[in-house]
Amino acid sequence: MLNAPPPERFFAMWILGSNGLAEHYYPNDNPNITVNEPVNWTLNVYNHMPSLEYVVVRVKLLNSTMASPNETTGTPSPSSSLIEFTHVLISNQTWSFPFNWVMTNVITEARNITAVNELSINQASFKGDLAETKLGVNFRFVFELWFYDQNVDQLSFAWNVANTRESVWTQLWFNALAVSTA
Amino acid sequence: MNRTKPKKFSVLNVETLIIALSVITLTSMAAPLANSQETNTLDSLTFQAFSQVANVYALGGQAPALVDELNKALSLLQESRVSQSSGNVTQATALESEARSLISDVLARAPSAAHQASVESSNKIIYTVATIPIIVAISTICFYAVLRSWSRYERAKLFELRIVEKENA
Repeated sequence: MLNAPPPERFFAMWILGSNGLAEHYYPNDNPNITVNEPVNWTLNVYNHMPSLEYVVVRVKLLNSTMASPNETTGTPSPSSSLIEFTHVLISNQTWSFPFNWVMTNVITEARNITAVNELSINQASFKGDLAETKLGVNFRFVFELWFYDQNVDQLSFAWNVANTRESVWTQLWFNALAVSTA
Repeated sequence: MNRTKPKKFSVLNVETLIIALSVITLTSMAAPLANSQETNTLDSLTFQAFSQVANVYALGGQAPALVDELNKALSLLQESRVSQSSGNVTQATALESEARSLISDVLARAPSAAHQASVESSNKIIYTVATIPIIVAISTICFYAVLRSWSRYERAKLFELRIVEKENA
């Protein structure tokens, strides 16, 4: 008997710009974002696992020095997530959802440190010391794809394929222009 | 004598105050704990509901209605968390309650969907197993019929042969 080769098991995640294409990620194509300037993206997740999957997109706001997820070891970024989006996907299905965000409070403190203190994502507001960088450059949104692993009864970031760890994450960079307090 | 009485009274008051403060502190500590336990329970229920729906698909069945309902519940939970973080506890509770109801419905309907998937899967196997000998028999009969027709045709051709003598002989 001839058996068909087992299907490739993977997830895919990608971000599209304001027009639904892989372009125009920033207003006027300028990654220097000012306070109250809305940015509209669309996140897409594709399930190429042969089974029904429970997926969670964890969104983290980081700067360039904070640790990214590690693809080799299959470990996520140690930073905590701002918001999570959860969905159940059947095999071969793509899930799209909007990710509209706006910074509502950005300040420049001493030593040219710019901090994002208030942010709104899909009209949900987040306050506190969310992230800071020097001169407001190189902020990034990191999107990690987690899934519910029934074997361990918890969410997992990576899965095994032929003795290697596979994981999915993506990121988009931007600079924050602050209202100076000095 | 008269001096001691007010002292006793004040000690009692302090004790009462300490007990009251302890109760308030414990209650305030217990509230978030209860809340987080409730969230954990809800997460656990969601995972349980998902596992049951996943089982339907693993058995070869389809349950798009259950998947849609589960996704609706997940979306409500997301909205509930946003309401909670923005301080709108009443709305958060209402949304969470609605989500819980949907998850319970999925949990209630999933076993029958799994049973149906299992029955359909068994029927498919029986149908396949029963079809194989029928297909083999039909193929054999067809092959035999073609073979018989061909051999008849060959025989007929043989009978139609005529011996032609050479004119010179």
